[in-house]
Amino acid sequence: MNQLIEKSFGYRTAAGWIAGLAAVGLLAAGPWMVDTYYLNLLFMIGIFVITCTGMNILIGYCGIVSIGHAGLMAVGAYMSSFLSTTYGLSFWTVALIGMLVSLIIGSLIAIPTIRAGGVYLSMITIAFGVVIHEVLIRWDGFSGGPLGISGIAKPQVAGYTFDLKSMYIFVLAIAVIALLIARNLRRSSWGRAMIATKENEIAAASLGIRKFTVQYAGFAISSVLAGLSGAIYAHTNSFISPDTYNFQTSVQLVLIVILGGSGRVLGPVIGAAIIVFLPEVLDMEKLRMALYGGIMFAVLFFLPKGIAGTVAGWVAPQLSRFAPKSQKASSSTASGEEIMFSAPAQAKDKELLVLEGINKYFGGLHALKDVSFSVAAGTIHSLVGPNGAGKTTLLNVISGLYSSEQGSFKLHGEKLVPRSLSAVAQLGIARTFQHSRLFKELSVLENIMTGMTKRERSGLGASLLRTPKQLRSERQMEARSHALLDLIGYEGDRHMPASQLPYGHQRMVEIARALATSPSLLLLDEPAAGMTATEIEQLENLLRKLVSHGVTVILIEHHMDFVQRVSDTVTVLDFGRVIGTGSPEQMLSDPRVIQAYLGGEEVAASAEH
Amino acid sequence: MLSIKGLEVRYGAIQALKGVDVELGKGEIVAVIGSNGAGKTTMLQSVLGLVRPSAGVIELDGKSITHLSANKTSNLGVSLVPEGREVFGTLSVVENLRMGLKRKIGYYSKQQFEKELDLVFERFPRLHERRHQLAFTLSGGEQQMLVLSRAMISKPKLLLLDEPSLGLAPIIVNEIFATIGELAKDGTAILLVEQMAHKALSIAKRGYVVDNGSIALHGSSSALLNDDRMIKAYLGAH
Repeated sequence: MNQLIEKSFGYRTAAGWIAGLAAVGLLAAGPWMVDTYYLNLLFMIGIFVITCTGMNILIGYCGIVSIGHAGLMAVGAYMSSFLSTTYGLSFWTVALIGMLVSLIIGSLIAIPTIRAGGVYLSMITIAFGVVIHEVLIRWDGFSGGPLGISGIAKPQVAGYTFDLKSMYIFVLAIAVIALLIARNLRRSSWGRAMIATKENEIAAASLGIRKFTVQYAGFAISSVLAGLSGAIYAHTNSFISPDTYNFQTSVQLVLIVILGGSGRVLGPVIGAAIIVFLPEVLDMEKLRMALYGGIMFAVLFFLPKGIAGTVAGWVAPQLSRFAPKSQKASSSTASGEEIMFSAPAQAKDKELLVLEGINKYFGGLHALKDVSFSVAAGTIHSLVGPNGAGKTTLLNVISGLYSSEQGSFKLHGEKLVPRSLSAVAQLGIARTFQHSRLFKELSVLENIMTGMTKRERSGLGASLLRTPKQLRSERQMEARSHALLDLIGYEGDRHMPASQLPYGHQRMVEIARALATSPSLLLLDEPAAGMTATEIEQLENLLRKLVSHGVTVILIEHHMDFVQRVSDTVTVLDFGRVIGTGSPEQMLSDPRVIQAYLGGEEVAASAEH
Repeated sequence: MLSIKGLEVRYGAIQALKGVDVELGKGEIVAVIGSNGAGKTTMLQSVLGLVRPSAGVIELDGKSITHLSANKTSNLGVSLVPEGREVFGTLSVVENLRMGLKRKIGYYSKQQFEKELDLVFERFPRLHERRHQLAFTLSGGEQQMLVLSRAMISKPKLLLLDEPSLGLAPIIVNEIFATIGELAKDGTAILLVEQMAHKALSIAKRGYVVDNGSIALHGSSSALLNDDRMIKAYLGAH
């Protein structure tokens, strides 16, 4: 039995496709197998799957919980119904217009509020849903007021009028497409960028990912799908009223996503099936909201990952036992080290980065005082100094995380104005963090691929459709990521979620992720912390290799023998001020440095070497 | 005081610890060395009760604590200083230290707490300077001092330290190690997980080397410092 599973593991993708096709085939046969009552329920599940797949992208990938998406469904439904009943336009035209208007209105809420973030955004979406509901009740001329719009025409194609059966098949097709889109998205740069931004905004920005762009994309996709499902519903049911799209509907949509398992492609299918069937089976129509409340409570309490998430949590480790053991890439040398570094060849010792008179205040604390020094291209420049001297603050200022009050930077001789983290990343400056900021939900490999987002990202359309070109670029990124992991000497599991990595490996993966952006300047904040002596030696070799490829490194580090061996130049900071810049031998034997930083014992120790 | 026998821990299909035996006496410092992913942190976490062992026994003073939850174990006087400085960011330094009292808060008078604070500040004057600052504004090294002080204030019988030297300036590392030594003299048993193998073995009497979930080597510090395999893998050629 075990052997059988092991063998079939190779055909996992094929098995998935066959199972999927079989399920869809069975569902497509539905109209001829069940009566109208059940067909209606199946149709409603389809409608919810379309909307909630969009919301799943928004909630599960982007981390934005919208509690107003019924409002966007309403926009699609009313827009198409109004145009169709008033001007007699065909369903296909008005559905398209409905999607478009839904996208526009969705954008109008998203654009000013994405910056507000998390909870505020949810509050705003609640308000939006309520406002739409109220407007629909009052605006008689457009919406027909509380009575709604009735007699909405059924879709037609070449003289054929759709009935419930054919509408169901149509919805099934759209739902399958929506699910495929969600799946493709999760396996693309865009999907990874969404999850990265959700998990750690700062780290994502340091890789050049703009939060607004990716979150807006998620909002846009969900708006379009909500508008579409609204239009389809209206034209199938022939009647809509404001109460079809009230606050409760919005809550129901969120519940479907969370119950099914947010971020899981099949989550909305499971969630919608339960939410639609359960009240019917239990014959609890009157207590529907109480039932939903109870389910929500139970899910948050017992199944925080939702049904799909929890099941996957059980099954995946069991299956992974049978996974083929050798998953390491064989490609490393074949792909060549050159492709990994696109740092322009620089004349060594030419100044890459010049800092002049940098000052930084935190309230009354003067954290950086007139910091000036320059970093030569193709060298390793170390920053040392006591804890609290301002080393990390300086790194944060250089990388654009903090802005400085005074002072100027020059990169490649050009003056830089204070800018954002993602803008600095675009200039070819990459960094790691003192506390590892990996994207925990993504695998090791995906973390590295996220680093390539700004260079390699295919268009959103190509990512949703998984075009051959996008697929090729994915394969290339994967190969390059394997090569980078080989380069840094990472020997752990590459498909493991980053949340399960031991500390030292997290650091290594973070360095590889920074390298994936092909930086010309790499800022490392205590990379050797938590590494064994052997790993530090590997790191040392890696740094030398990077420098030979023209990468410039600024290194904060406390392992003094390591600093001494690897640095070309050392700058010492104390109390936010530069004590001096010079060769490692010169700086580390400076009496001020010994007193403030190394301590007496260390001097004795280094004398032994 | 602490006795670990045949400890096994599984994460799903992965076996993180495969039968580990460790002994630790009162006032003793024992170093645990090993590469990343070897299972050192898992070992500390299972002693405290953050991770459920799948087999084996952990005894504290002869009583099994194998299946106790973390808060019960910590009430018995076990304190863990996790790696990566977990301070309460939006509380001040003093408030963070007060958290170290935990359930004992009833037994400490204000004066006693002040006395404890004085001891901490005497050891780490830096924390005194910053006593009213919120913890997240501290530098990495200061946060490490804070976490260690917080653990000290709880007066643990058994202190589990996970890489206390992480990210600290050499001069502070020396201070921290001196502090660890003093704590042991006062009778605290200390299990010290540390990548700076040289330093760890210089204050520990004995050491264990964990490799791939099992104890690969153990012995007195001086023996380990001169062991060829140790030098090759963990101590470096320098």
